[in-house]
Amino acid sequence: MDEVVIERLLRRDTIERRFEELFTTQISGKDIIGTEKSNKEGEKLFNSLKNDIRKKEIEIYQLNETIKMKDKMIENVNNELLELTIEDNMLNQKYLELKKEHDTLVERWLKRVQDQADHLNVSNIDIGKDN
Amino acid sequence: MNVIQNLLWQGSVNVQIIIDSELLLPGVPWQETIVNLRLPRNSYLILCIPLILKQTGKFLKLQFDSNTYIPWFEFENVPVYWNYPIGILFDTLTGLDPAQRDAKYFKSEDMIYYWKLQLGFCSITDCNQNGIIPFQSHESNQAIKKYWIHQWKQACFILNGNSKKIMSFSNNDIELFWQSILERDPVKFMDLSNKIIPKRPHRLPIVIYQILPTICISNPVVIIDNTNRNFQTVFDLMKREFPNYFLNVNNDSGTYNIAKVISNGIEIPLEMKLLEFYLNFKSMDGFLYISLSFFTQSN
Repeated sequence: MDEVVIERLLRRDTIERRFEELFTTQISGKDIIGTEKSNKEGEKLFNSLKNDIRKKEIEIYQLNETIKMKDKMIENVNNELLELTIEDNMLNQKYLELKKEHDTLVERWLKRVQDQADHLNVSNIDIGKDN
Repeated sequence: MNVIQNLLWQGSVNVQIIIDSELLLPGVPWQETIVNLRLPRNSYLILCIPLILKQTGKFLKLQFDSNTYIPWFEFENVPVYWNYPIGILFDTLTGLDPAQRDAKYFKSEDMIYYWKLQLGFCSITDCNQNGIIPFQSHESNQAIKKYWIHQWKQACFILNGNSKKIMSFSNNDIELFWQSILERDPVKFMDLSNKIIPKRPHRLPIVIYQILPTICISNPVVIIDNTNRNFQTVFDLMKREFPNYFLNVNNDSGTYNIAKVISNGIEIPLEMKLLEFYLNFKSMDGFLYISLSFFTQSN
Protein backbone atom coordinates (compact mmCIF):
# COMPACT_ATOMS: atom_id res chain seq x y z
CA MET A 1 0.00 0.00 0.00
CA ASP A 2 2.74 2.44 1.04
CA GLU A 3 4.70 1.73 -2.14
CA VAL A 4 1.69 2.69 -4.26
CA VAL A 5 1.20 5.94 -2.36
CA ILE A 6 4.91 6.80 -2.49
CA GLU A 7 5.03 6.08 -6.22
CA ARG A 8 1.99 8.33 -6.80
CA LEU A 9 3.48 11.12 -4.69
CA LEU A 10 6.80 10.90 -6.56
CA ARG A 11 4.93 11.03 -9.85
CA ARG A 12 3.00 14.10 -8.63
CA ASP A 13 6.23 15.79 -7.56
CA THR A 14 7.92 15.07 -10.90
CA ILE A 15 5.12 16.99 -12.63
CA GLU A 16 4.65 19.74 -10.07
CA ARG A 17 8.40 20.35 -9.73
CA ARG A 18 8.93 20.88 -13.44
CA PHE A 19 10.40 24.36 -14.11
CA GLU A 20 10.36 25.10 -10.37
CA GLU A 21 13.42 27.31 -10.93
CA LEU A 22 11.07 29.87 -12.53
CA PHE A 23 9.05 30.17 -9.33
CA THR A 24 10.24 31.94 -6.19
CA THR A 25 10.17 29.82 -3.07
CA GLN A 26 8.68 31.64 -0.14
CA ILE A 27 10.80 30.97 2.91
CA SER A 28 8.97 32.63 5.72
CA GLY A 29 6.29 35.22 6.24
CA LYS A 30 8.49 36.68 8.98
CA ASP A 31 11.35 37.40 6.58
CA ILE A 32 9.15 39.42 4.29
CA ILE A 33 7.31 41.72 6.62
CA GLY A 34 9.07 45.00 7.23
CA THR A 35 12.24 44.34 5.30
CA GLU A 36 11.92 47.26 2.91
CA LYS A 37 11.99 50.56 4.69
CA SER A 38 14.40 52.53 2.54
CA ASN A 39 13.78 55.71 0.58
CA LYS A 40 10.98 56.93 2.84
CA GLU A 41 10.71 60.40 1.28
CA GLY A 42 10.32 59.01 -2.24
CA GLU A 43 7.80 56.50 -0.96
CA LYS A 44 5.78 59.27 0.72
CA LEU A 45 5.67 61.32 -2.48
CA PHE A 46 4.84 58.24 -4.49
CA ASN A 47 1.99 57.33 -2.15
CA SER A 48 0.55 60.86 -2.26
CA LEU A 49 0.66 60.72 -6.10
CA LYS A 50 -1.12 57.39 -5.96
CA ASN A 51 -3.77 58.96 -3.74
CA ASP A 52 -4.16 61.76 -6.27
CA ILE A 53 -4.68 59.24 -9.04
CA ARG A 54 -7.24 57.46 -6.93
CA LYS A 55 -9.11 60.73 -6.24
CA LYS A 56 -9.06 61.61 -9.96
CA GLU A 57 -10.37 58.18 -10.78
CA ILE A 58 -13.24 58.66 -8.35
CA GLU A 59 -13.90 62.07 -9.96
CA ILE A 60 -13.89 60.48 -13.42
CA TYR A 61 -16.28 57.82 -12.18
CA GLN A 62 -18.64 60.46 -10.75
CA LEU A 63 -18.51 62.52 -13.96
CA ASN A 64 -19.22 59.43 -16.01
CA GLU A 65 -22.21 58.77 -13.80
CA THR A 66 -23.42 62.38 -14.38
CA ILE A 67 -22.99 61.94 -18.14
CA LYS A 68 -24.96 58.72 -17.98
CA MET A 69 -27.78 60.49 -16.10
CA LYS A 70 -27.83 63.38 -18.56
CA ASP A 71 -27.88 60.94 -21.47
CA LYS A 72 -30.91 59.36 -19.90
CA MET A 73 -32.60 62.77 -19.57
CA ILE A 74 -31.88 63.55 -23.24
CA GLU A 75 -33.35 60.21 -24.14
CA ASN A 76 -36.49 61.07 -22.16
CA VAL A 77 -36.82 64.44 -23.95
CA ASN A 78 -36.34 62.73 -27.31
CA ASN A 79 -39.03 60.22 -26.43
CA GLU A 80 -41.39 63.04 -25.51
CA LEU A 81 -40.62 64.86 -28.77
CA LEU A 82 -41.33 61.72 -30.72
CA GLU A 83 -44.60 61.27 -28.88
CA LEU A 84 -45.66 64.86 -29.65
CA THR A 85 -44.73 64.51 -33.35
CA ILE A 86 -46.91 61.42 -33.62
CA GLU A 87 -49.76 63.26 -31.90
CA ASP A 88 -49.29 66.23 -34.27
CA ASN A 89 -49.42 63.94 -37.29
CA MET A 90 -52.62 62.36 -36.08
CA LEU A 91 -54.23 65.74 -35.43
CA ASN A 92 -53.20 66.96 -38.91
CA GLN A 93 -54.77 63.91 -40.44
CA LYS A 94 -57.98 64.51 -38.51
CA TYR A 95 -57.94 68.17 -39.51
CA LEU A 96 -57.65 67.25 -43.18
CA GLU A 97 -60.51 64.77 -42.90
CA LEU A 98 -62.75 67.33 -41.20
CA LYS A 99 -61.81 69.99 -43.77
CA LYS A 100 -62.77 67.64 -46.56
CA GLU A 101 -66.08 66.84 -44.85
CA HIS A 102 -66.70 70.55 -44.31
CA ASP A 103 -66.03 71.33 -47.99
CA THR A 104 -68.40 68.57 -49.08
CA LEU A 105 -71.13 69.91 -46.81
CA VAL A 106 -70.64 73.49 -48.07
CA GLU A 107 -70.78 72.25 -51.68
CA ARG A 108 -73.98 70.28 -50.95
CA TRP A 109 -75.55 73.30 -49.23
CA LEU A 110 -74.66 75.62 -52.12
CA LYS A 111 -76.11 73.18 -54.59
CA ARG A 112 -79.29 72.95 -52.52
CA VAL A 113 -79.60 76.78 -52.28
CA GLN A 114 -78.97 77.00 -56.05
CA ASP A 115 -81.69 74.45 -56.69
CA GLN A 116 -84.14 76.37 -54.45
CA ALA A 117 -83.29 79.67 -56.23
CA ASP A 118 -83.78 78.06 -59.64
CA HIS A 119 -87.08 76.58 -58.49
CA LEU A 120 -88.22 80.01 -57.18
CA ASN A 121 -87.25 81.68 -60.47
CA VAL A 122 -89.21 79.14 -62.45
CA SER A 123 -92.24 79.70 -60.16
CA ASN A 124 -92.00 83.51 -60.57
CA ILE A 125 -91.89 83.23 -64.37
CA ASP A 126 -94.97 80.99 -64.33
CA ILE A 127 -96.86 83.51 -62.11
CA GLY A 128 -95.95 86.40 -64.50
CA LYS A 129 -97.29 84.50 -67.46
CA ASP A 130 -100.60 83.84 -65.69
CA ASN A 131 -101.07 87.55 -64.91
CA MET B 1 8.47 11.40 10.11
CA ASN B 2 8.05 8.62 7.57
CA VAL B 3 8.69 8.80 3.81
CA ILE B 4 5.04 9.55 2.95
CA GLN B 5 4.75 12.31 5.54
CA ASN B 6 8.01 13.80 4.30
CA LEU B 7 6.84 13.78 0.68
CA LEU B 8 3.53 15.34 1.69
CA TRP B 9 5.27 18.04 3.73
CA GLN B 10 7.57 18.85 0.79
CA GLY B 11 4.69 18.97 -1.75
CA SER B 12 4.45 22.35 -3.45
CA VAL B 13 2.65 23.83 -6.43
CA ASN B 14 3.82 26.40 -8.95
CA VAL B 15 1.51 29.41 -8.79
CA GLN B 16 1.45 32.39 -11.11
CA ILE B 17 -0.21 35.49 -9.69
CA ILE B 18 -1.43 38.20 -12.00
CA ILE B 19 -2.62 41.58 -10.77
CA ASP B 20 -5.96 42.89 -12.03
CA SER B 21 -4.93 45.33 -14.81
CA GLU B 22 -7.40 47.97 -13.58
CA LEU B 23 -5.42 48.26 -10.36
CA LEU B 24 -2.13 49.06 -12.07
CA LEU B 25 -0.72 52.55 -12.50
CA PRO B 26 -1.06 53.91 -16.05
CA GLY B 27 1.74 52.80 -18.36
CA VAL B 28 2.80 49.81 -16.27
CA PRO B 29 2.90 46.71 -18.47
CA TRP B 30 1.02 43.89 -16.73
CA GLN B 31 3.79 41.44 -17.66
CA GLU B 32 6.08 43.23 -15.20
CA THR B 33 3.68 42.64 -12.34
CA ILE B 34 3.43 38.86 -12.67
CA VAL B 35 4.62 37.04 -9.56
CA ASN B 36 5.66 33.40 -9.87
CA LEU B 37 5.70 31.58 -6.56
CA ARG B 38 6.30 28.03 -5.50
CA LEU B 39 3.90 27.54 -2.62
CA PRO B 40 3.75 24.58 -0.24
CA ARG B 41 0.50 22.63 -0.47
CA ASN B 42 0.45 22.58 3.32
CA SER B 43 0.27 26.33 3.79
CA TYR B 44 -2.11 29.27 3.36
CA LEU B 45 -2.37 31.48 0.28
CA ILE B 46 -2.77 34.54 2.44
CA LEU B 47 0.80 34.14 3.74
CA CYS B 48 2.26 35.08 0.37
CA ILE B 49 0.41 38.42 0.16
CA PRO B 50 3.21 40.43 1.82
CA LEU B 51 5.70 38.98 -0.70
CA ILE B 52 3.41 39.79 -3.63
CA LEU B 53 2.86 43.33 -2.38
CA LYS B 54 6.56 43.77 -1.80
CA GLN B 55 7.23 42.92 -5.45
CA THR B 56 4.27 44.68 -7.03
CA GLY B 57 3.21 47.36 -4.53
CA LYS B 58 5.01 50.11 -6.44
CA PHE B 59 2.93 49.39 -9.54
CA LEU B 60 -0.44 49.54 -7.78
CA LYS B 61 -2.77 52.52 -7.68
CA LEU B 62 -4.10 51.60 -4.27
CA GLN B 63 -2.71 52.11 -0.82
CA PHE B 64 -2.79 48.48 0.16
CA ASP B 65 -1.69 49.15 3.74
CA SER B 66 -4.84 51.15 4.40
CA ASN B 67 -7.95 49.64 5.97
CA THR B 68 -10.11 50.49 2.97
CA TYR B 69 -9.14 47.77 0.53
CA ILE B 70 -9.08 44.02 1.05
CA PRO B 71 -6.84 41.82 -1.12
CA TRP B 72 -8.36 38.62 -2.45
CA PHE B 73 -7.56 35.91 -4.99
CA GLU B 74 -9.66 34.79 -7.90
CA PHE B 75 -9.46 31.73 -10.13
CA GLU B 76 -11.52 31.75 -13.35
CA ASN B 77 -13.89 34.35 -11.86
CA VAL B 78 -14.37 32.34 -8.68
CA PRO B 79 -13.15 33.79 -5.37
CA VAL B 80 -10.51 31.65 -3.70
CA TYR B 81 -11.08 31.40 0.03
CA TRP B 82 -7.94 32.19 2.00
CA ASN B 83 -8.84 30.10 5.02
CA TYR B 84 -8.24 26.68 3.42
CA PRO B 85 -4.84 25.06 2.73
CA ILE B 86 -3.39 25.71 -0.74
CA GLY B 87 -3.32 22.02 -1.66
CA ILE B 88 -7.03 21.41 -1.22
CA LEU B 89 -7.91 24.69 -2.98
CA PHE B 90 -5.74 23.70 -5.93
CA ASP B 91 -7.15 20.15 -6.13
CA THR B 92 -10.80 21.20 -5.90
CA LEU B 93 -10.86 24.43 -7.90
CA THR B 94 -8.88 22.97 -10.80
CA GLY B 95 -10.99 19.79 -10.64
CA LEU B 96 -7.79 17.77 -10.41
CA ASP B 97 -7.89 14.23 -11.77
CA PRO B 98 -4.41 12.75 -11.09
CA ALA B 99 -4.83 10.10 -13.83
CA GLN B 100 -5.52 12.74 -16.48
CA ARG B 101 -2.76 14.99 -15.16
CA ASP B 102 -0.23 12.14 -15.25
CA ALA B 103 -1.31 11.09 -18.76
CA LYS B 104 -0.92 14.63 -20.05
CA TYR B 105 2.14 15.89 -18.20
CA PHE B 106 4.25 13.00 -16.94
CA LYS B 107 6.03 12.13 -20.16
CA SER B 108 5.97 15.61 -21.73
CA GLU B 109 9.01 17.12 -20.11
CA ASP B 110 8.51 20.49 -21.81
CA MET B 111 5.07 21.08 -20.34
CA ILE B 112 4.77 23.24 -17.28
CA TYR B 113 2.12 22.53 -14.68
CA TYR B 114 1.04 25.58 -12.73
CA TRP B 115 -1.92 27.40 -11.22
CA LYS B 116 -2.84 30.83 -12.49
CA LEU B 117 -4.49 33.17 -9.98
CA GLN B 118 -5.54 36.78 -10.16
CA LEU B 119 -5.05 39.14 -7.27
CA GLY B 120 -7.69 41.80 -6.82
CA PHE B 121 -8.59 44.37 -4.20
CA CYS B 122 -12.09 45.25 -3.12
CA SER B 123 -13.75 47.40 -0.52
CA ILE B 124 -15.10 45.77 2.64
CA THR B 125 -18.72 46.06 1.43
CA ASP B 126 -17.88 44.38 -1.90
CA CYS B 127 -16.07 41.63 0.00
CA ASN B 128 -19.18 40.87 2.02
CA GLN B 129 -21.26 40.74 -1.15
CA ASN B 130 -18.87 38.23 -2.75
CA GLY B 131 -18.80 36.01 0.34
CA ILE B 132 -15.11 36.67 1.03
CA ILE B 133 -14.05 36.94 4.64
CA PRO B 134 -12.40 40.37 4.85
CA PHE B 135 -8.99 40.84 6.42
CA GLN B 136 -6.44 43.64 6.43
CA SER B 137 -3.40 42.93 4.29
CA HIS B 138 -0.99 44.21 6.96
CA GLU B 139 -2.63 41.90 9.50
CA SER B 140 -2.83 38.85 7.25
CA ASN B 141 -0.29 36.89 9.25
CA GLN B 142 -2.15 37.41 12.53
CA ALA B 143 -5.57 36.77 10.97
CA ILE B 144 -4.58 33.39 9.59
CA LYS B 145 -2.70 32.45 12.75
CA LYS B 146 -5.84 33.00 14.85
CA TYR B 147 -7.91 31.01 12.38
CA TRP B 148 -5.33 28.19 12.37
CA ILE B 149 -5.32 27.95 16.19
CA HIS B 150 -9.12 27.67 16.17
CA GLN B 151 -8.88 24.90 13.60
CA TRP B 152 -6.47 23.02 15.85
CA LYS B 153 -8.81 23.50 18.83
CA GLN B 154 -11.64 21.96 16.81
CA ALA B 155 -9.44 19.12 15.56
CA CYS B 156 -8.20 18.49 19.11
CA PHE B 157 -11.79 18.34 20.37
CA ILE B 158 -12.79 15.80 17.71
CA LEU B 159 -9.70 13.65 18.28
CA ASN B 160 -9.68 13.67 22.09
CA GLY B 161 -13.22 14.60 23.07
CA ASN B 162 -11.92 17.86 24.57
CA SER B 163 -9.47 20.68 23.72
CA LYS B 164 -7.34 20.36 26.86
CA LYS B 165 -4.18 19.34 25.02
CA ILE B 166 -4.03 22.42 22.81
CA MET B 167 -5.32 24.70 25.56
CA SER B 168 -2.45 23.59 27.78
CA PHE B 169 0.09 24.80 25.20
CA SER B 170 1.98 27.85 26.41
CA ASN B 171 2.08 30.99 24.23
CA ASN B 172 5.65 30.07 23.43
CA ASP B 173 4.60 26.60 22.26
CA ILE B 174 1.87 28.08 20.06
CA GLU B 175 4.39 30.51 18.60
CA LEU B 176 6.88 27.69 17.95
CA PHE B 177 4.11 25.60 16.38
CA TRP B 178 3.15 28.50 14.06
CA GLN B 179 6.78 29.23 13.23
CA SER B 180 7.25 25.59 12.22
CA ILE B 181 4.72 26.22 9.44
CA LEU B 182 6.17 29.56 8.39
CA GLU B 183 9.71 28.21 8.39
CA ARG B 184 8.71 24.86 6.91
CA ASP B 185 10.29 22.90 9.74
CA PRO B 186 8.72 19.39 9.68
CA VAL B 187 10.51 18.08 12.78
CA LYS B 188 9.30 20.90 15.02
CA PHE B 189 5.82 20.60 13.53
CA MET B 190 5.59 16.84 14.09
CA ASP B 191 6.91 17.15 17.66
CA LEU B 192 4.18 19.61 18.60
CA SER B 193 1.33 18.08 16.58
CA ASN B 194 2.06 14.64 18.09
CA LYS B 195 1.35 16.16 21.51
CA ILE B 196 -2.21 16.87 20.33
CA ILE B 197 -2.96 13.80 18.21
CA PRO B 198 -3.51 10.66 20.30
CA LYS B 199 -2.17 7.31 19.07
CA ARG B 200 -5.66 5.82 19.09
CA PRO B 201 -8.17 8.60 18.42
CA HIS B 202 -11.88 7.83 18.72
CA ARG B 203 -12.98 10.31 16.09
CA LEU B 204 -11.23 11.85 13.08
CA PRO B 205 -11.53 15.44 11.84
CA ILE B 206 -12.19 15.06 8.11
CA VAL B 207 -13.46 17.56 5.54
CA ILE B 208 -14.77 16.34 2.18
CA TYR B 209 -15.05 18.69 -0.80
CA GLN B 210 -17.28 17.92 -3.68
CA ILE B 211 -17.56 20.35 -6.58
CA LEU B 212 -19.85 18.36 -8.87
CA PRO B 213 -22.82 18.40 -9.37
CA THR B 214 -22.89 21.21 -6.78
CA ILE B 215 -20.26 22.65 -4.47
CA CYS B 216 -20.61 20.88 -1.15
CA ILE B 217 -18.31 20.78 1.88
CA SER B 218 -19.09 18.12 4.44
CA ASN B 219 -17.64 17.21 7.81
CA PRO B 220 -18.60 13.56 8.32
CA VAL B 221 -18.64 12.02 11.77
CA VAL B 222 -15.88 9.41 11.63
CA ILE B 223 -15.76 7.15 14.67
CA ILE B 224 -12.83 4.75 14.90
CA ASP B 225 -13.60 1.52 16.70
CA ASN B 226 -10.34 0.76 18.50
CA THR B 227 -11.60 -2.49 19.99
CA ASN B 228 -12.15 -4.03 16.58
CA ARG B 229 -9.07 -5.12 14.68
CA ASN B 230 -10.78 -4.53 11.33
CA PHE B 231 -10.17 -0.83 11.15
CA GLN B 232 -12.40 1.22 8.91
CA THR B 233 -11.09 1.79 5.39
CA VAL B 234 -11.41 4.81 3.12
CA PHE B 235 -13.97 2.83 1.12
CA ASP B 236 -16.14 2.24 4.23
CA LEU B 237 -16.33 5.98 4.85
CA MET B 238 -17.02 6.81 1.21
CA LYS B 239 -19.64 4.07 0.85
CA ARG B 240 -21.41 5.46 3.92
CA GLU B 241 -21.23 9.12 2.84
CA PHE B 242 -21.70 8.67 -0.93
CA PRO B 243 -23.45 5.33 -1.52
CA ASN B 244 -24.27 6.25 -5.14
CA TYR B 245 -20.66 7.03 -6.09
CA PHE B 246 -18.77 4.22 -4.36
CA LEU B 247 -19.94 0.68 -5.03
CA ASN B 248 -16.81 -1.48 -4.73
CA VAL B 249 -13.34 -1.35 -3.22
CA ASN B 250 -11.95 -2.13 -6.66
CA ASN B 251 -13.53 -2.08 -10.06
CA ASP B 252 -12.94 -5.79 -10.81
CA SER B 253 -16.33 -7.17 -9.86
CA GLY B 254 -18.34 -5.72 -12.73
CA THR B 255 -19.80 -2.70 -10.95
CA TYR B 256 -17.81 0.49 -11.18
CA ASN B 257 -17.29 3.41 -8.83
CA ILE B 258 -18.05 6.72 -10.46
CA ALA B 259 -15.84 8.84 -8.19
CA LYS B 260 -12.36 8.66 -6.74
CA VAL B 261 -10.83 10.03 -3.58
CA ILE B 262 -8.17 12.71 -4.00
CA SER B 263 -5.92 14.11 -1.32
CA ASN B 264 -2.69 16.07 -1.65
CA GLY B 265 -2.76 15.73 -5.43
CA ILE B 266 -2.93 11.93 -5.62
CA GLU B 267 -5.65 9.31 -5.84
CA ILE B 268 -6.01 7.45 -2.55
CA PRO B 269 -6.39 3.64 -2.67
CA LEU B 270 -9.85 2.86 -1.27
CA GLU B 271 -8.58 -0.10 0.73
CA MET B 272 -6.28 2.16 2.80
CA LYS B 273 -7.02 2.16 6.53
CA LEU B 274 -8.75 5.37 7.56
CA LEU B 275 -6.59 5.94 10.62
CA GLU B 276 -3.39 5.46 8.61
CA PHE B 277 -4.79 7.81 5.96
CA TYR B 278 -5.48 10.47 8.57
CA LEU B 279 -2.14 10.18 10.36
CA ASN B 280 -0.17 10.45 7.13
CA PHE B 281 -2.25 12.87 5.10
CA LYS B 282 -3.58 15.32 7.72
CA SER B 283 -3.09 18.98 6.97
CA MET B 284 -1.16 21.49 9.08
CA ASP B 285 -4.40 22.51 10.84
CA GLY B 286 -5.15 19.00 12.13
CA PHE B 287 -7.90 18.28 9.59
CA LEU B 288 -7.74 15.77 6.77
CA TYR B 289 -8.95 17.32 3.50
CA ILE B 290 -10.38 15.10 0.79
CA SER B 291 -11.79 16.04 -2.60
CA LEU B 292 -13.87 13.92 -4.91
CA SER B 293 -13.06 13.57 -8.59
CA PHE B 294 -15.43 11.85 -10.99
CA PHE B 295 -14.44 9.27 -13.57
CA THR B 296 -14.69 10.51 -17.12
CA GLN B 297 -15.46 8.47 -20.22
CA SER B 298 -11.74 8.17 -21.01
CA ASN B 299 -11.13 6.68 -17.53
